[in-house]
Amino acid sequence: MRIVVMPPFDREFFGGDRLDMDATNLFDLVARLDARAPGFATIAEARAAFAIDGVFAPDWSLPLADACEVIVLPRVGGG
Amino acid sequence: MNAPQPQHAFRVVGTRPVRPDGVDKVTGKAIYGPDFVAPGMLYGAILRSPHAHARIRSIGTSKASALPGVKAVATGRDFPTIESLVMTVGESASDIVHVARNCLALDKVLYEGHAVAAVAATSQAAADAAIQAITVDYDVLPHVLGLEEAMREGAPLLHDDVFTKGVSPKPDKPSNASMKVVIERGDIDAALAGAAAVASGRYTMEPVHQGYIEPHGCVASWNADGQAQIWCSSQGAFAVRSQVASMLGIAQADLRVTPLEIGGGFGGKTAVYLEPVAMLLSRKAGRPVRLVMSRGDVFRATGPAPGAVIDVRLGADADGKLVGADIEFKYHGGAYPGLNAHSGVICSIGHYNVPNARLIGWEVLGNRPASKAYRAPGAPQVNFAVESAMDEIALQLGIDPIELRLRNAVRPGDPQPTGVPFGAIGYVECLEAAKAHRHWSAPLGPNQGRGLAGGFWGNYGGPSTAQVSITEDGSVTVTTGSPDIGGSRASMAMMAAETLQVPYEQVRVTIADTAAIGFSMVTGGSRVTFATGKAVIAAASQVVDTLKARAARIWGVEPGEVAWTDGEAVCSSGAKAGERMTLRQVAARAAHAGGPISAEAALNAAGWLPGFAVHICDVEADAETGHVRVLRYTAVQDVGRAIHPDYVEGQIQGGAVQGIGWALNETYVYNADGRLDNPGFLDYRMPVASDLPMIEAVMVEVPNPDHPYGVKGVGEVPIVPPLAAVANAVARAAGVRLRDLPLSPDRVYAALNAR
Repeated sequence: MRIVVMPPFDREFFGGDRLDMDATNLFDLVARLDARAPGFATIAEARAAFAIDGVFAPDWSLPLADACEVIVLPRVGGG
Repeated sequence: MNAPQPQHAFRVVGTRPVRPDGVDKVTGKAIYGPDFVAPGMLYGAILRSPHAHARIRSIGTSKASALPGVKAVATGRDFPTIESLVMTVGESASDIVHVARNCLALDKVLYEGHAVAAVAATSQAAADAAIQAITVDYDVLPHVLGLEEAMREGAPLLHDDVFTKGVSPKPDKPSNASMKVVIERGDIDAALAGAAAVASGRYTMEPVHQGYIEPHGCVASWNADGQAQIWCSSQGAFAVRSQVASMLGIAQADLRVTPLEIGGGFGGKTAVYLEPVAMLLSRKAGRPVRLVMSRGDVFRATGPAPGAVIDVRLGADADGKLVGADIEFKYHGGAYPGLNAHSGVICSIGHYNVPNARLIGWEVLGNRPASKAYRAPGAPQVNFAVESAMDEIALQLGIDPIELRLRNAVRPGDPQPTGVPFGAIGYVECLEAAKAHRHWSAPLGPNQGRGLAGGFWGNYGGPSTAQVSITEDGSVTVTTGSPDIGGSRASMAMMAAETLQVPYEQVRVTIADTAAIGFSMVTGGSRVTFATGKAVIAAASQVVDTLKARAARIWGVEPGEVAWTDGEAVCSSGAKAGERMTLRQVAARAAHAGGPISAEAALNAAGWLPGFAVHICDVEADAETGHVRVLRYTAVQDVGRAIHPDYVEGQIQGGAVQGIGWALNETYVYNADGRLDNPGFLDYRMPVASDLPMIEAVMVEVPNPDHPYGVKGVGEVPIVPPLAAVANAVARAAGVRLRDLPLSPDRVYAALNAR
C-alpha cells in the first residue's frame, strides 16, 4: 500500500513523502509509522488526518486490506 | 452541475422561522461570559507585562496579599508541573505547556500584555488595587516583531526549545521559525519562464483581530473535594474542559464546564486565557472567582489572525491557463507555536488547477500575542496575494476576470493540493452565478472600480453528540454540546423537525454543559450545521423508529406495519389499517408502552465538503483624501443547501464585512518598544453599518451528497475573497495596485499622487 506523507510530516518525521507499507487499519498504520519515526503516534491524534483512496477517514478502524493509497496530512484548523 | 433537490421536497429546511434565542438576546436577558454571577463570588484581576520581551527575575506578592479584601494571589508557579503534551486546542494542535505559560508567564514574558500574576478579592476595586501592589523585577530583553527580522541569524530568540518543524534534517539550533510547509510539483521555474503572462509581487499585512464584541469572561469554582465548575463564553465547553483539566492535572469528570451565550468568536474563542487562572484563584480562596478582560486586554493578550509577508509569482499561457505558481509566505505565529501554515499552503491555489507549483509557508514567532484562528485561518492572507495576481494576469492578457477564473477553476474530481480529490463542489457554479449577476455588468462612474476575487476553504466535520427526546405532551427537546454562535439552535431544531415531520415550533434546543451530554468538538471549522446536524438527524431518526415501534405495540401489530407520515404513526395493514396516531398520542402512552422516548447519537462526521465563494466589489477612491468607499458588494457562495437561509446569508454578510474591514481599515500598530498603540475600537477601526452598503448574499446550492439535507459549512469562506476583491476594485479605480494592507487613506492618497 502506498503511503503519501504530506508536509510538514514528510520532512518532520520521515525524510520523504512516499512510503510503502501494509497495515490492517489506521490505528495499525499509525503504530507502524511510529516505529519508523518515533514520536509520530504522539502527535497523530492532535495533528494528523488521513485519506484512504481519496476519501477523508476520521474512523481509524476502517480496514485497509483493499486500500491502494493512504494520504497522511495535517488536520486543518478552523475558526 | 449538481442540481439541488427542489425546495418542495422539504417541509422545514429552507424556510426562515424566527430564531428561538432572539427574545432573550434583544431584551438583555441572555447571560454572556461577563454577566455570570455565583453566590459568594470573588472578583479577579490580572497583572500584565508592560514589556514585549523580558525575563522575570522575581514577583513580589506579599503586599498585595496583605491588602484588605484580597483572598488569593496566583502566579505561573501555581500551575502544577506538567509535561509537554501536544493536544487538540480548538481545531489545531498546541503544546499544553505553552497554553499554560500563555495564561500565566513563568520565567519570561513574551509580549506586552502577557499575564504575570492574578488576584481575587471581595470587590473589583480591591482586586484592581491589589495587582498594582504586586512588584515584578524584569530583566528587559531585546524584542522582535517583524517576520523577516525574527528569522535572521542573531534575532532575539523567544524559546530555546522550539526547533523548526517540517525541515530535514532536524535542526540542532532553536529558531523563531517554528514550522515550514513545502508542497512542490512540476517544474515551476521552466513553467514561469515560458509563460505568456506573469504577475509577481510582495504583499504584506499586520495581524488583525477577530473583533468579537463580548470580551473574554468566566467564573470558576473549585471545591475542596476536587470537583470544579466553570461558566464561560467559548466556542467549545469540551475544549475548555480538556485544556484546563490537562493544565491543572485533574480528571475531566471532575470539571463541569457550562457554556454561556457567546458574543462572537470567529475562531478567537477556541483558546483558554482566563479559565485556568480563575481555577487557581478559586482553589486558593475557596470561593468562586470571576475574571473578565477589558477591551485593551483582548487586543493585547488574545490571539489575532497572523500578519503576513507573501511573495507571489503566478504565470499563465496566452489562453489564460495557469501554468505555474511560486508562492512563499511567512505568517506571524506570535509568542507560541500552534498556528498551522499548512492551511495557507492548501488554500493558496486550491481553487485552481495549476500544473507546476512551489508553495512554501512559514510560521514565525515574534513578541506578539500568539496567533489564533480567525474564520478560515490562514486563507485570506495568501488569497489576497494570489487573487491580486489573478487580476493582474487578466489585465495583461485582456481576459475578463471571471472568464480567466473559469478557465482554471477546480471541478469535482480534480485533485486538491493534498492529492485528495474534490467532491461535489460548486466553484464553477459560483463563477457562473457571478457572471450572470446584474452587478457584474452594471455601469461605473468616475473614480470608481470593480474588483472580483474567488476563494476556497476546506471546512470540517468531526465528533458531535446530540440527544432528541419526546416530552409527555409530544413536544420535542434537542440537546447538543455545540455552542450556538451563528444560529445553530434554529438549524438543529429545523433538521430535527424535518426528520420528525413536525412543525419547527414544536422543537426546542438546549446547549448542554459538559456533564450533561457526550463530547462535541468546538463550534468552528464551519462544522456544526454539518456535523452536529448529522448527529441530530441520526438521533431524530432513532426516535422515529421508536415512535413507530411504540405505536405498533399500542395497536398490537408488527413494527413493520407502521409508517411515519406527516408526523404521525399510520398503520398500513391488518385490522388497524389506515388508523393514525399523532405524536402527542404516542407520547402520552409511552410510559405504558416501553418507557420514555429518547435517543442519543454520537458520531465522528465524515463527508464534509469545502466551501467556495466569489465576491464582487465596487469602490470609489477619493483623490483628495485617499478615502475608499465601498459602493456595492455582492457575495456569491456555494452553500450546499441552506437550512435557514437568513442565517446563511448572515454568515456570508458577516464574513464579507470582516474581510472589507481587513482590507480597508484594520491593523495592529506596534511602536518601537513593542507595545500596541491601538488597543481599542476607537483606534482599531472596524467597519460599522454606516460605512457599508447592503451586502448582497447570493446562495448557490450544490448539495452535499454526504449529508441527509445537503449541508456544507458556510461560516468561513466568506472572509477569504474580500481582501483581494476590495484591492482589485481599488486598483481599477485608482489605476495603481496597492499590495500592503490595509488600504488606508494615507496609502491610497500617496499612491494616487504618485501616478
